[in-house]
Amino acid sequence: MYLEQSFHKQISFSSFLFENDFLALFPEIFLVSTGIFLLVYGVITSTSKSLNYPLLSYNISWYAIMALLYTSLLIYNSPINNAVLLYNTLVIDDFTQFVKITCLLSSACCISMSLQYIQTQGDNAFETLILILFAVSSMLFLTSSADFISLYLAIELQSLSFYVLAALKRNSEFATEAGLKYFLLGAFSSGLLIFGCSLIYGYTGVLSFSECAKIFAAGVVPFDGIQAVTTESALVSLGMVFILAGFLFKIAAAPFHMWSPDVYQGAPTPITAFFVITPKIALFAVFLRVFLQSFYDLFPIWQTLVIFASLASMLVGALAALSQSQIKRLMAFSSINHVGYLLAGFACASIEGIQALSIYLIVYIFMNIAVFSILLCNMRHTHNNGLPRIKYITDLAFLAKTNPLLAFTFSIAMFSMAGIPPLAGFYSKAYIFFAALGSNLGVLAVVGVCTSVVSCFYYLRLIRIMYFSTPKTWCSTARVPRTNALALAISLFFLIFCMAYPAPLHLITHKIAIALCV
Amino acid sequence: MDFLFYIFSSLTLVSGALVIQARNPVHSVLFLILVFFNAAGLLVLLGLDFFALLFLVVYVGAIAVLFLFVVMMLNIRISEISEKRLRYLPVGGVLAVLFLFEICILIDNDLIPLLSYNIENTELLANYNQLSFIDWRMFLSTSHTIDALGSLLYTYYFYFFLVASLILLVAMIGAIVLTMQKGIRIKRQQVFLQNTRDFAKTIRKVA
Repeated sequence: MYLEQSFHKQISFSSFLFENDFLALFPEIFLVSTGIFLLVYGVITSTSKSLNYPLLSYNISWYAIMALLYTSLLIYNSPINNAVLLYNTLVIDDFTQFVKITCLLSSACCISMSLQYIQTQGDNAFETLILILFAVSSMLFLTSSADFISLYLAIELQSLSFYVLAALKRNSEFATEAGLKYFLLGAFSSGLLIFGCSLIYGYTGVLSFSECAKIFAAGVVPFDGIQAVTTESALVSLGMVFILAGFLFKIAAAPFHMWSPDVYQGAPTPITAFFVITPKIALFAVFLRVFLQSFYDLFPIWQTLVIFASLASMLVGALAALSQSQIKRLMAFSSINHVGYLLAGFACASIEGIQALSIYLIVYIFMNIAVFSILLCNMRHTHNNGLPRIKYITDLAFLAKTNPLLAFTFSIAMFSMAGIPPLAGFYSKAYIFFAALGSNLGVLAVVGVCTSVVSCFYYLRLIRIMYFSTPKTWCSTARVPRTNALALAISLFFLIFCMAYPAPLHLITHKIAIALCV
Repeated sequence: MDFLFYIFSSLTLVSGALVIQARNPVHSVLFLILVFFNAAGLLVLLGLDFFALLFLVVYVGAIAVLFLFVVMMLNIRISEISEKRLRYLPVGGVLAVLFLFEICILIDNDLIPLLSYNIENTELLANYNQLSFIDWRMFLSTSHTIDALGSLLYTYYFYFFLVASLILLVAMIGAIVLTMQKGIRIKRQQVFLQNTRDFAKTIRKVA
């Protein structure tokens, strides 16, 4: 009954652009136009002589947080939750709405965590916030794209703002290297992606995901002449492999992960937090749609590749992180490791797999919010006052004595990342492994458990440094800023009590998994 | 027309090889421009006149000129380049062979088999003949490339157009953020002073 109704809605909506499409797209329109307004406001105000050239970063970051929160409210209260928009180029359903709200809230969290950094660092480029706003709006477009062109355009918009964000500290050699490396490799991967799309278009003549799904569905068309086009074709699978390679590159999965440690290390810490936390969920959302909708009938081909990528990123993430001494590189390898688990859920391609993947994504976001809101606090070192940030993992030493509460929170986040039982990280990992076992992918589950044991070592090493090492120089925190404390409190609450009452998370992920698969 | 196609495509291939082979980077940029011209010729042969012009304007007018600027500013030594010529051959060669295979597959396949395939099974043939097709060729009306492009891009696919404009906006903001220096110690160009400067007063004879 419900399905039928929504289907009728879809049909009638696709024909009334001005009545309904703009209504459904109102959140995106709001976000983009806020970005442009803030840009104009910033440019005019920051160059005005009568206002004495005010510094706007702090001001505009509050505006950006507000815009993100309002947009998520708009999406939450959207009158239309199920539609195909703008002549089959965008799609809205429960899945996209959920992913969009998660994107918006997590990026609002990222900005609010870095407020103090913005204030103290004195890097007064308010354009950073505008670029973040555009990146987030491109993620919204990305999640709801239903067409290869809109997919490509949204990815380009996102990655172009990311290149600039990575290179923002142009005086630092690391940041320039990060930006350049990200730009060159990202452009290459975009090239692969668009080449795959063009192969598919050249072969089938359609661009929309749902039309592709119809063409690849074997046995629908009665003539053998047309059936030869369908599943067996080498060209379609070649195009699909190219698209998959582009995707794996964008999420930094293992054979294509080379850029991510350098970029995460070189970018300013708030930007690193943004890179780690937000884009993964949007990219996963759209590629789940591509691979489970369009390419579902080519499942055996892409499953092997995804399994391989998953195994490789689990191993690389676990083993390469052992030798890292810089905390941002460590977090980069840990995120590669997490991507391996996420891809294990992807490879299942079942409803359980998608549900496990979305639970894992949400837990991943919370864990990283906890870690980065600690890293973004101001720290005082005894050996150099000039550098108030944590850079090496040994910088954390003695934190347990100087600020026991913060150390406790950090260790909870680390325990959760390592997957120690009563915390949320364990729950999500276990769910992924059960899904993998359910889809007969025992290898992934076994290797996943082994690598998670290996990764325990470096997570626990951080805790050992905080609690048990007695260094010559030690760090103490300045007062934790209120916004960081709020983010920490929420994420800590989630990490500890998720296991006690997981039903809401379960229900909502089940709902979105079904929305994607049906 | 076939003759023209062979001329254009062989020239494209030859000058594409020369882009890599040329020792002087300026020469290779010039060969690159030749590649673009020949590709534009191929596009004209396909009947895509607007795209051919766009190709010339964008690639030759903007990108190749940018390349030339960069190459001339960088002061690359020719000996450095010739050293590394064969270094990337293994990887590049493997990729080239792969692409060759792909193209072979592509030529073998009919891209979109429409009505012109053989049906040998009589039963299927009977089915096929009973189908009532709309012969779309009867309803065909032609329009110019620009016409068709505009009428699609500004109506059905206006979303793509808007997102592309957002991409350009982000590129512009990025370029400005990464290059503009704000601060007191920056030497600025005083446009007004520079324009009002009198040529006769600026150059003086000393002693």
